[in-house]
Amino acid sequence: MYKKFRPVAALLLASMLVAAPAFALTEDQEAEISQSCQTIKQNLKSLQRSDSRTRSYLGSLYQTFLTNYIAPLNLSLVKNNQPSATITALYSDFLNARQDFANKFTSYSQNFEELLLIDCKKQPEDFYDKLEQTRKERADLHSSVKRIRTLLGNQYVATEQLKGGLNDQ
Amino acid sequence: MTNKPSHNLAILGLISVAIALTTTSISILIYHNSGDIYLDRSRPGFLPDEKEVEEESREDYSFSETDPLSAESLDDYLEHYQETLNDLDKIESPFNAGPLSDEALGIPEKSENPE
Repeated sequence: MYKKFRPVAALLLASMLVAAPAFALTEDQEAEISQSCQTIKQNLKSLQRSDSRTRSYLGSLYQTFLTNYIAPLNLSLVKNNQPSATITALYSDFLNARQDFANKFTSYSQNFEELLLIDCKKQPEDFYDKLEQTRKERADLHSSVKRIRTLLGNQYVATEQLKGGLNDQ
Repeated sequence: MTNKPSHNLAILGLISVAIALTTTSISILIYHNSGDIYLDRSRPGFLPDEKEVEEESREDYSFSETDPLSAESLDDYLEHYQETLNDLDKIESPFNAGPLSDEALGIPEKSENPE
């Protein structure tokens, strides 16, 4: 009769293992986090302000690229009857990548805010778990920024090739 | 006989306050959930520095979509594009893992769960 419950028991055990934090804190580490809580929080708040400045700076540059370079070039190609599939694709990819960056920053910031709300003095384990989550979000955000940089580089190369094509005409 | 006009006025006042509180709460909720709060640099502690404001006010180049396309116009485009790329690259590796590391935050080294 109990054989029927073995798969259920195995599933429950597996879910408990998955749910367990990947990095366990020792008692000493918990104590040190509790002691340094104020310093950690100050560092995090400072980072939050710095991230906001970075986001603002990058956002305004991305907007500059879009409105002053990428979009007008794309339009110009269409108006001059010289459409470029590469440049059109890059335009579309850039728009998507920029939106992805905005979404990822929002998600990262929300996690950051939640992290700051946890009392690391009383809940060092929860605090550290949330910190790990925030780190993952930051890594995603970093990848998004790298993707945009790659696309902007590709746009430069594509434009150079286009210029080369015009020189040959 | 009840004083109806002042009674009605009080109810009107309460309803107005309730509507104002509701709409304000919804606005703040949307402001927070949409992520706009994280882009808002008018919040205390997030105001731009004077230096930032000076840098942002310089003139921008803009490619003309109406002028005929030529190698010269693209030369100009590429030159300004590169300058803007250089501005972008001033921030080395944005949002990298460093600032959130244990070392940067002053957290002692951790151990992994033995599996």
